[in-house]
Amino acid sequence: MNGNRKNIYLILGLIIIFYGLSFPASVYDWTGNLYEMIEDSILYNDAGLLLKASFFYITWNVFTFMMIYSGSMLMAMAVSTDKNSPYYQLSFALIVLLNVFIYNMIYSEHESFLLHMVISAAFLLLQLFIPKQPFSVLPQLIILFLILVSFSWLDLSPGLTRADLGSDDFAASLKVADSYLSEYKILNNLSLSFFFVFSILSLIFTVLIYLFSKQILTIKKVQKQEKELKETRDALLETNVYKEIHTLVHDLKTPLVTVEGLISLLELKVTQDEKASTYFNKINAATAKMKEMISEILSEDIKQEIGVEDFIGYVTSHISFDHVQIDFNLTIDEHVSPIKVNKIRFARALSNVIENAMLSLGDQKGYIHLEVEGIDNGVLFRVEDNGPGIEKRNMNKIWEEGFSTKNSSGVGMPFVKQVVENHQGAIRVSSIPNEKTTVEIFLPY
Amino acid sequence: MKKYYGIFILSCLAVIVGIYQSATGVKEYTPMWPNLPAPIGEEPILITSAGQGAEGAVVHLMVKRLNLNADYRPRALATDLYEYKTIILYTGFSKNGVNKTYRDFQEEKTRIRRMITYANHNQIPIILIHLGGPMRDDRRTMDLVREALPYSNYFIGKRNMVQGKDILDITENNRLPITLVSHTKDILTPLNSVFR
Ligand SMILES: Nc1ncnc2c1ncn2[C@@H]1O[C@H](COP(=O)(O)OP(=O)(O)O)[C@@H](O)[C@H]1O
Repeated sequence: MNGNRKNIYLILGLIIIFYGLSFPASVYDWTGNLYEMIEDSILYNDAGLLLKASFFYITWNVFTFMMIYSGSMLMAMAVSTDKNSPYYQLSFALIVLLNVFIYNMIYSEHESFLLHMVISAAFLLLQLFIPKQPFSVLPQLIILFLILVSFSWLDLSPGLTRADLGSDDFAASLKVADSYLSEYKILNNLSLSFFFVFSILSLIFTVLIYLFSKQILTIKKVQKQEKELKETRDALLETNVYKEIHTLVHDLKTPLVTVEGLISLLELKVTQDEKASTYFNKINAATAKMKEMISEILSEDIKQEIGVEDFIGYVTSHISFDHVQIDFNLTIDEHVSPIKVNKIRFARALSNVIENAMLSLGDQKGYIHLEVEGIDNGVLFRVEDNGPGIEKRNMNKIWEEGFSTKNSSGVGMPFVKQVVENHQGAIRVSSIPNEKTTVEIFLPY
Repeated sequence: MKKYYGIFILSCLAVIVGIYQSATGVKEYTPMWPNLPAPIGEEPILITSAGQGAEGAVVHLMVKRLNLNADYRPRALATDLYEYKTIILYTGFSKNGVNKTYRDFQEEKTRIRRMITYANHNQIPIILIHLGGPMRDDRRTMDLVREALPYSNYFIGKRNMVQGKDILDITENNRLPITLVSHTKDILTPLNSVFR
């Protein structure tokens, strides 16, 4: 995929450069006109015509080098797509200079390497301030255009002839013509003013693009924050609901005690009936169970002894594997002794781990293995899946409340940890992305 | 900071190239003969080009200003010379100009050589003018100058040149009068002295 893309950049760049290099040859008729325009401006002593010829020359020059530079940009992107990397920058400059060399060879011209080094450096510098965005190509081309226009005018600056600028054919003709017509007044003024105007334009444009993208960035940030705010609000609402349920459950205890008391009174009164006493036993068992459940919901510390198979049955009965392509596999060691846990909370923790594994697999085909093993002084629950896994850099973050890669609340893993630690247990997560992810919960007796 | 490395290296290179160029590039040369002792040319005059640079029209403009009887024919051939008593040859190679005449550089050089041979044979004086100075100092222009200069009678050029030493050497070896000026307009004085 990546290599393919680089090849596309390379080929596209070569094609554009080819067009750029052959452009002057394809407009020989037109440049013939330019030549005559310069000659006529001298013969008829016509400064206006000289001005016009200068504009034509700049247009022609910018057009050619626009293609050469943008082609070089694409080719340099085949080396590195990172505009900040020195590899990209130096390859860009090298390709540009190479093309200037080829251009000079083909057309027996004298484009200045120095000027093109300066143009490349200026463009690369401004490019740093254009942030990466899907449509950043256009601003880059506009900046390239402005820089090329501004520096092309330097070719016509008589003062810079010393630095070997503007010894190409038309620039030389124009300058010699002007040296006689106005003693360099026209070109001096023209080239410097246009150089400054376009340099400043390119700077302003870069600053505008920079500010604009920053604005977009802040808008995006604000949107994200708003979303997070909404989520926490929802979470708060949820906890409030839980609190209400909590008080409700708590309030259930009072009528239940009343019922219990009245039943025991009734039992004393109705002793001789066989049938009635079995009914009473059943009612007592039911109320006892209800009391137990209420206490368990209300208190984290209440623990009960439960067989591992029963417990796992309770956990898995709440999870449905029907609609997913997941191969669920369960192995329970035969000799595991019963565990003592807060059934509701510990089951919620374990099912959370299993659900995480399921969610990570998504619609993918995959497996989830749940193993329960008795070891020295406790029980080990192991949940293993072969989903995308957790990247190394996120490994520590999963314990933070609010961390989530799937845009959800991110309170799952912290809850699991809290529950496990409440049971004096330990939890360990290891992951080889796309191979296997294992969550191990150790519960001591 | 890493993002400035490439640009920094490039800028350093540019500075080095710039320093190198200003050290080896344009120099000011002063001629041995500042002026012509006596007129050497007569009218009518043919103004023609060696290299077809568009700026050659400037020579025509100057000759007109001196009220001399001259024809501006950049592409004249040796066979056109019989009408004239002096040739002003201006040097400056322009790829675009040569292209317009449907010739190539070698053909242009041959045209000059034939013209020089004819002129020397018929004792028509040749005045060589190099207007471009450092802007037209390329290899091909200097090729044309070397072709024509030893057979010319007078050289007028610019003080600022890159290849000025070559020109001074040739004029010295051939004992040719030479005048170098600072500004293009200053050519008028030596040009006038050729004829009056
Ligand atoms: N089995 C797993 N496979 C891959 N990633 C997992 C797994 N379990 C947890 N994670 C990662 O841990 C993050 C935090 O999980 P959790 O705290 O349960 O929050 P949430 O489920 O709301 O995202 C998940 O977003 C996910 O990236």
